[in-house]
Amino acid sequence: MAFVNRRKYCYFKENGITEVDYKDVKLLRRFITEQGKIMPRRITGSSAKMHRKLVHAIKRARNIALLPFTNLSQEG
Amino acid sequence: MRYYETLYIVNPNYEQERFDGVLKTVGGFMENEKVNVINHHAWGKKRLAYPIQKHKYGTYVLFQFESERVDFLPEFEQYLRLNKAVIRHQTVRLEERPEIHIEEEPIVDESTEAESTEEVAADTESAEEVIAEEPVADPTTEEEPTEQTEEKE
Repeated sequence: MAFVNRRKYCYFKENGITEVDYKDVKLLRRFITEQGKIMPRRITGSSAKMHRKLVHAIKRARNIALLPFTNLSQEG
Repeated sequence: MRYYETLYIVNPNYEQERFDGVLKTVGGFMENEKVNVINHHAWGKKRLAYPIQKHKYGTYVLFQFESERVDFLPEFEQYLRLNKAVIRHQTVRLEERPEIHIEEEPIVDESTEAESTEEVAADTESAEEVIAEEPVADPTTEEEPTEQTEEKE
C-alpha cells in the first residue's frame, strides 16, 4: 500500500533549521515541484510556522530568478 | 543599526573590466551616502531560472550593508532600476549583522548548471567546495542572513 509507511515529518525540525534563507536554492528546491510550484504542507509535512517562512523565501528567490515561477516557459 | 542586503544581477555580457566598474559605481553610491558596506562580492555567472530581458544568464552580486538611516534606500533602489547594467535587484532587511565574507572564495562558474530542476547536484558540490575552502569561516555563513523584512523593488 502506498500510504501505509508514509511517515510525515517536518524537515526543518529534523535538521534543526529555524530560519529559511532565500539564497539557499539547494534547500528550497526540495520544496517545489518540477513545475516550480510550492509543495503543500500536507505533502512536505512541515510545521505551519516553517512553511510560512519557506513560502516567503521561495517567493523572494523567484523574484531574483533563483527559482522559476513556472517551468513551462523553460526550454532546458 | 539596520542591516540590509541587496542581491542584484548584472548583465552577463559585460567583460571583467566593465563588470568591476559596475561594482565600483554601486559601491561608490553607498560611499556617498556614508553607509557602511559589510560585504560586496560577486557570486559568479549563473543560469537564471527564467529569462530576464532576454538574458538566460546573469552575474549575481551580493551586497550587504548597514546604516542608521533609511532615507537613501528609495534613491538606491531607483539608482539600481535606472542602471542599465543591473537587470534585476532585490533588497531585503536582515535581522542580524551578516558575517564578513572572506574574499579567497573562487568565483564558481555555474553557467552549465541547472539545465533542469533536478540538477541540484552541481549546486550542492559547488556549495560544499566553498565551505571547504573557507576554514576560517563559520559553517553557518551560508545560512546566516535569514529573517528579513521586505523591501522589494
